[in-house]
Amino acid sequence: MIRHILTDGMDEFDLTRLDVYRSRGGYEALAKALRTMSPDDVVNEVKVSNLRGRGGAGAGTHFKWSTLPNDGRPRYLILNGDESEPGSFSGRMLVQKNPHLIIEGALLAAYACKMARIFLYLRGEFHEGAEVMARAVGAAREAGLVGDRILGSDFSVEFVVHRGAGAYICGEETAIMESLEGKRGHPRTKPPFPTAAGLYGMPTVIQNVETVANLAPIVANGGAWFAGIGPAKSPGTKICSISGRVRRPGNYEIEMGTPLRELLEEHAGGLEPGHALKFILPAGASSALVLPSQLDTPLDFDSMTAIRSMLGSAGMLVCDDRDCAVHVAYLGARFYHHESCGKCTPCREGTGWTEKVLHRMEHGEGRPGDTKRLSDLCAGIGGRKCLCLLGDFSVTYLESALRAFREEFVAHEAGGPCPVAHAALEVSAR
Amino acid sequence: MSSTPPGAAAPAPPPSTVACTINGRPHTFPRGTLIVDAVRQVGHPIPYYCYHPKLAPVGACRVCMVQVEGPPVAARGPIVTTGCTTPVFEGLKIETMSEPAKLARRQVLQFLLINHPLDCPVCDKGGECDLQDFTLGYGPGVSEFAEPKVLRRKAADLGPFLVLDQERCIMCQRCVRYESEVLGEQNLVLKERGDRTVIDTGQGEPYAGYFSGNNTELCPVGALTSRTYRFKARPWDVRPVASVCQGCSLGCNVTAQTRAGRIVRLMLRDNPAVDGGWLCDRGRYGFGHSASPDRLTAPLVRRDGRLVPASWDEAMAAAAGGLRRAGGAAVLGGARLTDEEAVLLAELTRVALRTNDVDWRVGRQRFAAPEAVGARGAAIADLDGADLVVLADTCLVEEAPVLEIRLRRAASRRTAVLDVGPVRNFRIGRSTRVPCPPDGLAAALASLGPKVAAAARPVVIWNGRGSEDVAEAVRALGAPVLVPGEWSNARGAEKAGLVPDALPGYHALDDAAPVEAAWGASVPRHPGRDARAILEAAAAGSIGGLYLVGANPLRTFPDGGLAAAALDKVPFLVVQDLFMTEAAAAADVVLPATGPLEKAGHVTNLAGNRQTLAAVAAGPGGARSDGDIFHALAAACGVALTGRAPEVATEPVRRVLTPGGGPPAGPGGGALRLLLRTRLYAGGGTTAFDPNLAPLREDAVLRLHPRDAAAAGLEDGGAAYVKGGGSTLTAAVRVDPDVDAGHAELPAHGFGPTRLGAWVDVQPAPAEALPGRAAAIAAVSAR
Ligand SMILES: Cc1cc2nc3c(=O)[nH]c(=O)nc-3n(C[C@H](O)[C@H](O)[C@H](O)COP(=O)(O)O)c2cc1C
Ligand code: SF4
Ligand code: SF4
Ligand code: SF4
Ligand code: FES
Repeated sequence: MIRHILTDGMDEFDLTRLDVYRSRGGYEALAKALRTMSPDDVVNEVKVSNLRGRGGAGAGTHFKWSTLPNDGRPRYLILNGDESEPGSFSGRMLVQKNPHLIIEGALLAAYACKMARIFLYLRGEFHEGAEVMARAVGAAREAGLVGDRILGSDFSVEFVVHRGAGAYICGEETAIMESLEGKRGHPRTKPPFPTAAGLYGMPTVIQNVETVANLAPIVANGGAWFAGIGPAKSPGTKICSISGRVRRPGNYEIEMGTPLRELLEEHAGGLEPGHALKFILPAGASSALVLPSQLDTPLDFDSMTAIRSMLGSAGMLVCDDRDCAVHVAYLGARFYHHESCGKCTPCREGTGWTEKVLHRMEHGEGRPGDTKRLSDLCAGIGGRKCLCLLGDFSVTYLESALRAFREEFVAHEAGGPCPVAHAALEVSAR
Repeated sequence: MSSTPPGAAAPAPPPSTVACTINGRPHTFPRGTLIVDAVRQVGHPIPYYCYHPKLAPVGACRVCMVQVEGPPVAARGPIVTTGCTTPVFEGLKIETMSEPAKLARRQVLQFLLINHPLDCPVCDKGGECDLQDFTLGYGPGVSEFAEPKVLRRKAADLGPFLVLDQERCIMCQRCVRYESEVLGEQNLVLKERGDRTVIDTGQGEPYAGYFSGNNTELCPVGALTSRTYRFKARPWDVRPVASVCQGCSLGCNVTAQTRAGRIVRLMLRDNPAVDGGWLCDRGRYGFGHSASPDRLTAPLVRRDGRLVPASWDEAMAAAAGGLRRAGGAAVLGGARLTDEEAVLLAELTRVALRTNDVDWRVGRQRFAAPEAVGARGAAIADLDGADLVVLADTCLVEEAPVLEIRLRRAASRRTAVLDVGPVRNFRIGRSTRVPCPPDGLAAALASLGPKVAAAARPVVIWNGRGSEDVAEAVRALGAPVLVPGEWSNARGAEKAGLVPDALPGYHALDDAAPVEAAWGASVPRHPGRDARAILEAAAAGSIGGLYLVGANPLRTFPDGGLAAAALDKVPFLVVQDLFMTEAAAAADVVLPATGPLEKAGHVTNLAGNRQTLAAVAAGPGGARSDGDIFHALAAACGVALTGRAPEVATEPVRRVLTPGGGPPAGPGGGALRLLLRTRLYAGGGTTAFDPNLAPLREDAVLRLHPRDAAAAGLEDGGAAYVKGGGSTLTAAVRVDPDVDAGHAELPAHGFGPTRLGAWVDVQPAPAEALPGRAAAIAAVSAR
């Protein structure tokens, strides 16, 4: 039985319209919270729900909220809709097709944590999403759902929609704050953590858009209901974006704990006929490869971590026997070289060096020692030596590719045409 | 989020020190000490680039890696982390030389070098470069990088003083952080992303601020370099000498470096009590006058209407003879001397020339030490803790630039700034304006009495201009006062008695005994005349000779018409200076002196700090120090100077400030009230003759409010005629909303503004009409 919490009705109805959303029970959770629950009651339901952040790290949402200091300073909520991970496009879908679910969830979070203002940070390229969101916020404001004295209660909060300028790093939780403040998207050192000193120095909670989209259902049905879906430690559903060498690429909302094989074979229609799975990058370019032997791994935070990969934002890139590991590695390296913010040395210089080596290998100019050089580069960049996690992301997939397909890399050291049959990897969305 | 139940004992405050181990040995540090500082203190330094003690840590370069183990990361076992962003914790085990730490640093250094041009042989920083030093100490011996490097701009022109080599930049961001954290400016920014990132000015325009040079010392590599020092010397063949900048009355501490007797650069010499470790560009780069080919190199004597070279003996005889003719002599200037020289000049004036007609105040400043008018002096560091600072029509960034940095920092924390006057004086940082007309300063200050009284640690900054009513208003505020001077050693001159109504050591004229005892000679008791009265007497033909010591009243005296008449009428004029100023061109005897970088002695800064000046460079062959000239001139008068400074009076004579001799007040012909204000790069002293500062010279820049500009049909960047007092000046126009409407601001020490009178009219002028300095000098010297 597939449960749809976040995408329910999304394909059949135009949920971007406030009246449609409301006719299906929308904003009733908000009304319920404002009329019958204290902020602490909402916090408690979230605690009971065991909700974990969908932005990648799977941090406990209640835990994050509990670190907010109680010192009277204004608090801010940032909704992270930067979604720049290659192969991740679930947030874009939610933003474009179910904006009120995000808004309602954000309002609930703001009510629970007594936030002064909500900022939705959208990836710069999300033209359409920004328009949909602006319209939805406008409609909600007109209906008394955003702004002063929401639904006649004492609760007031503003909702700001902000479009970035198109940078992967601006999804990182401190760079997003710098960017919102009008500065370069550069990560800050931590501590202080955002909940202590975040946006404009104020306590700030940063939450992925999909994370907050879960809040209305949790408040409506109770935290215990949510906690009962999927694995106890990683409950709920997850919208997985799957693309690459599959027959039905797209977004699929699955129950946490669903085996990867089921997502691949049943939802995404399996591989193209006549081809065999080579590997999957389960969290876009930032995770270790999942090999065919690991296909039965349940899709939840802990199970994926247990196989030394991660669920992350569940942007799954599927590669089959036509895909050369060096080619895929080169595409990743190009991405990281392009996206490194340049603030810290290992990532700034290392990603460029890595791309240059892989560029040569990919273009028939490999040299003896290149494979070892790549391993050394991974060691120089990785291991938490960088200022933010982007640096580590940039080597995680590469290290695992070097482990699993070392012979392909070594083969490229000889130069000449690619010894592995391959065609361009296409990343496409539904 | 636990709360203490009422009545329960409050938890003990965490101890103020923490104990940890560094390379196996126990140490204790104040809580919050960063590892990078802790390890250095105990002799296990680690390399660092982005960290700088004066900037907030950012953890960008990642070269300061150390290994740490213990709380709060005990569970993870030893890890390497950045020492500049991690404070010491109780029980932390820090290893600076463990293999993982050494490896991490080596990797970072290797990364830093891959796109570096490695052009050390032609790099100014070679020999004092942190990239060289740390690579040698901690880096890999060989680079494994065999790919093409990222290419960038090699000698990017960032304006008058800075040249940037973008390829040498290691992206530590010290420069951009200094700009924003220390200056509150953004003259340098980062552009592009990743390994394409470069440092640049915002739109590629020339660097606009007054403090660009500090970047060249913050930059750990040879990326940001000084134009004046490019390819001039190597650190190992320069001779460093500690001295003090005399660009203004703050007296920032410098290390001057010379090569073969020529100054190649000035560098900061951190004195927390004075400069806080910064220099302004005027100070840092304004050494070019020392070796200028325009320096006066031999005494000149007027013969047949022309100034011709003479021997020192001839010049001294001529000067002594001329100054002692009927009508007596008067002395103007002396606020650029050393303390010792100022005393010599006082002795020369009183004992050899037998007069009290002496005044250093050839500009607008009326007093130098707060105590001299009965106010209390403040220390420079008082600004740091001040809760309220009153800027009494004083513009620090123009008058004592590095002090402005301190005020900006204070204002960015808790200090409230009240900016009083007809122009916004404090432009960067929070402040409240208290607008007032130029003659309404006393009333405006008086209105602030309750605010100052309510403040816990107020400081008043007043440049000592105006007359007794302003002094009274400042006194009445009761707060400690800082007095930025119009000249570098105004305070020394005042203390030495280069005023008509007090003797050295602030002894009253009728308290001359200690002075006479020190000098072994009697001094005249009748009060002398101040600068205005002296100039009036000279213009009236009743003074026999005028001796200008490092002074050019044609530019600095607020009533330029009077100064011109005085110099025109006085029968005999002696000018002692470094350059052929407008006044020197009019003199009968010109005496070439050495400059502030060429003589030793002491100087007293605006807060009374007595500092030591060193002879850094030799100066041109024929020039002599002011002190030597005073001795020789006195000898030519038959007097041997003792140079002894009398003890300071236990009760300094309280002086009353007569009006400063400004232009005639009250409504005049024009529509706009003229404001003469100090501008850093205007002036006729060394600035006008310093090739390094030439691009920034602004002798004739008119600033006025957009409304007034529009009414007069003037555009920003255009030219204007400024008319008043029967005189016309051509000036470049800056439209500036920070000048209150109804006012026209001109640089006080520019040539011409002081002849305009109090009220002026402005009208558009053709761009070609803008003045050249040469023309101005020619106009005066054709006498
Ligand atoms: C380089 C980098 C990029 C990231 N990009 C995103 C992103 O696009 N969207 C997102 O929600 N989280 C992103 N994250 C994770 C955020 O830092 C943060 O953990 C997350 O927004 C927290 O929300 P959650 O607790 O709801 O998951 C990124 C992290 C890094 C290091
Ligand atoms: S790891 Fe990369 S993205 Fe993160 S701060 Fe360093 S350079 Fe920027
Ligand atoms: S120019 Fe110098 S100070 Fe600025 S970032 Fe580059 S290396 Fe650092
Ligand atoms: S502030 Fe004054 S003393 Fe200091 S460097 Fe500048 S000119 Fe020299
Ligand atoms: S000095 Fe510590 S990261 Fe740069």
